Amino acid sequence: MLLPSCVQQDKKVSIPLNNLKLSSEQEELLEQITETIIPATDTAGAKELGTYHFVLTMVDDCSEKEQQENFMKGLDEVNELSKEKYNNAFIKCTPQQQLELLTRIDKKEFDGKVNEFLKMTKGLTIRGYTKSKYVMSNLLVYEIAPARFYGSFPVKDKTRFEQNG
Amino acid sequence: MGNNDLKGRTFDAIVIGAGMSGGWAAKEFCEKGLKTLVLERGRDVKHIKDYPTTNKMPWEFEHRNQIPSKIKEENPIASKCYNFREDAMHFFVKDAEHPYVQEKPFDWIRGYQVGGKSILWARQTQRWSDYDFEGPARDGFAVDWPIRYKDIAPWYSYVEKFAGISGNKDGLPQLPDGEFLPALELTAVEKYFQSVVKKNYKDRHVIYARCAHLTQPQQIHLDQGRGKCLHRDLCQRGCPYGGYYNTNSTTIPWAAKTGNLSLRPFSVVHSIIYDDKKGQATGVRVIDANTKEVIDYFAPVIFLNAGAFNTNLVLLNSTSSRFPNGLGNDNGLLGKYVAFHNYRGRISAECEDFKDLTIDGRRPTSAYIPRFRNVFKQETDFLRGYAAGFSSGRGMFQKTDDGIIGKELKENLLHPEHGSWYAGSHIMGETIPKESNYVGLDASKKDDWGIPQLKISIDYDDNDEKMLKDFFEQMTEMYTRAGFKNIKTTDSKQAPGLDIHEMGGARMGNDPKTSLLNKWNQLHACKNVFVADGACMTSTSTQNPSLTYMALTARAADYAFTELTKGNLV
Repeated sequence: MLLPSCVQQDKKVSIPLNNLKLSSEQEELLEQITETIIPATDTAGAKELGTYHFVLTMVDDCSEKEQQENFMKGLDEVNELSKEKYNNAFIKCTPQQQLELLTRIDKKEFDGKVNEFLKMTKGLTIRGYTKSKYVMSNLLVYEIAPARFYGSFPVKDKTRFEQNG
Repeated sequence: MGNNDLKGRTFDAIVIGAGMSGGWAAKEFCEKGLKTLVLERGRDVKHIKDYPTTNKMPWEFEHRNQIPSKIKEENPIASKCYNFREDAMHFFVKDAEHPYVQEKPFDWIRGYQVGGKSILWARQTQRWSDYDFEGPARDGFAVDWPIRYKDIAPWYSYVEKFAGISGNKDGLPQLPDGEFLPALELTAVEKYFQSVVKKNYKDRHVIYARCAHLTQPQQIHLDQGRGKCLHRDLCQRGCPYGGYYNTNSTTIPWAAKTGNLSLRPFSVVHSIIYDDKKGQATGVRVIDANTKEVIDYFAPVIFLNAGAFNTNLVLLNSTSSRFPNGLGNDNGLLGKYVAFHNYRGRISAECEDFKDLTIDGRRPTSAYIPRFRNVFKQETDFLRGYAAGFSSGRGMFQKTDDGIIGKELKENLLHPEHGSWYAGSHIMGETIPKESNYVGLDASKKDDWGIPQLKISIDYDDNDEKMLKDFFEQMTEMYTRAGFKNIKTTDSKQAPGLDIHEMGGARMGNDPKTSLLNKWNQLHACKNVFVADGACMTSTSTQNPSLTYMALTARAADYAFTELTKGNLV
């Protein structure tokens, strides 16, 4: 059966979640937050790498119920703060405003669950990004079998950053 | 195979357990031409084929190797083990499937499969010396070991040559040299610490830890189909090159190649069958793990290598009118005098020197500090001593402080900076076997196969606490003399068990009144049953024990074959 495209109201492809329930707006918000944390430059950013899927999977599977609740509350608080400061939903703000707001949240300038939310989201975005296929294949290249160990290696000759498997 | 096929159920030898030591019994018997049945309670794990995660890249693990909360909650015991992660959790027993009774807290880490825990081990292979074997007699605990270093030395060599051990000839009487493949490098800071310790202490040494890695494969290893260790440091997944020693890549396929091996996975051993009239064990009663069918297998010689505590369980559950309290248990000591290694203490620090140097590549092992306390004479207010793992490296870090977001964060992530050298060490303390530390059968609780659950009652004592305190004091002093900064000691307070070095319960000794096994690992009271896994250990010393289990098993198998041939086992 072919469905007319207007039936697919959610343009986001949601990943299956066991505990968290997100609207497509919330997903879009989270996606933009991860992109603000690690933006596209001359290399791919979090949005292109789908890093927010990893953030959601980890919060859904690897954190406690209370953390999940705080995560959801804090996510909404980002929007509340952006409306308060810029009169706009977060995703409607300019990239400069988005960066400014998240930087201020990261510096713990506000109260609320938004602090725990950003701590989790920043950490997981970093992890999802640095442990993505893209970064581990192109930028911080992972060697599965280095076949060597040097215990006194000159710093000046060091070109590789070794990530753990 | 049903119970009506007696011939098909009769073998020349039966080995219970296809793990670290059972693999050796299988290899020795099969090579000597005995039709050998190996019983394994878990599934088969074929080398390479059954290592599902071995070549996975980090991003292929959904949770980047972290254990989801639900699995953690379902496995409060197994998830305490450092190797219980997304890439290797399939090699661990799940808590709910194999319950046991903790009279006192004991984290029993198990791997029920062909290969057992040899897939997951830390691959450390230090020999014992006479300072270890003579310990109980000199210091007046447990009973005297019925063997000395000279009895086991040729078997250490035998096992080391086949397994492939990387090490240096260090010439230390307390840690005898073996048959070594080349060592890997120590780091700049490890070498520096080595020189500081040498200069300040007469009897203390920092050496490269001997480990079961093929740094330069010999013909015997190539014949096994194994290749050089490529420093993946992902050993817990199983190595596609056979770069480290595990049962799956070595002894089991070697035994199978002879055509004499019958490997039966999913075989839960209920008991060893004892024939009161013949006055000997005649076979093994097995419950098929899947069908629950009860099947008896027969052989004139039986090797029990089920893993220390499960070996105790099988013996305790093997009752007959001759042995109402468990096979060979005339003195009532079966299950008692169990011991372990104290792994509670850690010390960490930073070294601010050697800024122009770092490490490159990966190394699947570390440095090692052999026991230096009470080695040549008693010198402290506690008995025995500890060895210590020692390892140093230089990490790189990415600046992600609060307020760093966006392009700056991304730049920092892509351009890591060199951190300080770290220096970490952990205790491996000898514990004293005592009658009050024991395992037994629970009177009412049974497992899914109707076998009584093991109850475990083991605790630390005052000697362990004093030893831990001494480790912290001595290591702090050594670190201070090296000029290390930011020295931190940590007592994990972990329960016994997490060391995964539980030992004893069917100890060796000269006197049948005070021990279960003789100097050949043969039950004093039932000559055709041998125990050469961790259950046989009279004392624990400080070395990682697998190498000693392997050497004892090969030695016992050789003796059992000779005795069998002479007709002395009937």
